[in-house]
Amino acid sequence: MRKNLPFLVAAVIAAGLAVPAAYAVQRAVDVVFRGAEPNPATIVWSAHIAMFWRLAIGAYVGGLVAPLAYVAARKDLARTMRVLGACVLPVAILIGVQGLLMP
Amino acid sequence: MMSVLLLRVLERIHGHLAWLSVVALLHPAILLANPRRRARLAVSLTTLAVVATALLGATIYPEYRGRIKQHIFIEAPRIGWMFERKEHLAVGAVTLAVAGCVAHLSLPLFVQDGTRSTVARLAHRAFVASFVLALLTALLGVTVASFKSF
Repeated sequence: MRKNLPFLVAAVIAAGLAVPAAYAVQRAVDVVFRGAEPNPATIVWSAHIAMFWRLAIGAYVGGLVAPLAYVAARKDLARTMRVLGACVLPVAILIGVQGLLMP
Repeated sequence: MMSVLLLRVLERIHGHLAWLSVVALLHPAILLANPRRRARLAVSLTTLAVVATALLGATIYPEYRGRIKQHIFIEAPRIGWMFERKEHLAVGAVTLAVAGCVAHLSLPLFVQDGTRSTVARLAHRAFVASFVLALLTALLGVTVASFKSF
């Protein structure tokens, strides 16, 4: 079991990075492609909480990415961790740019 | 439906805990610059504070939408959009802190020195990014809260 733990760690980290990336992409797609949204000043209340919805889809994408990362880590752990390490800053920039420019 | 008093208390705890989390995130962001450095307690407590802040924020968020959001957008749309920015950046701050924490705590599992060093650098990058995003989130949060709160 202990032998498999580094692969599981790779899967968890990949899922953790996939969540904000998927979240940022969803919101960017909303802003860029879906056109004008209702003015928040005119909305009293709605049952749909877009942020929670995006997070749930992000978690789903993370769940899809995790087994792929696990398989990749089993094949070549060092390379998988290097790729994940290289993904941290792009993911941070992605959510940062989306958050600031496409609220 | 929560009472206004409870919402005020939770909101203030959320705000103060958020700033404590920002300061706490600076600690691993500096310490882990050295890939040989181990700071399991600092990393765990920092991540715990960040996650607790996020859970508290998520708890009061539906009430914010129902009671405050529309008023802010009517009176000062720019500040309303600041809150929207804050929630997006917070998602990044929390998830990167968790990823950094998992990476740092799992270091003993990696037997090869090269891979361990890669994972240590991953943890450091994640905490630096989380700190930057959390700082922006906290600044935006204070701006919104100083304009209108529960």
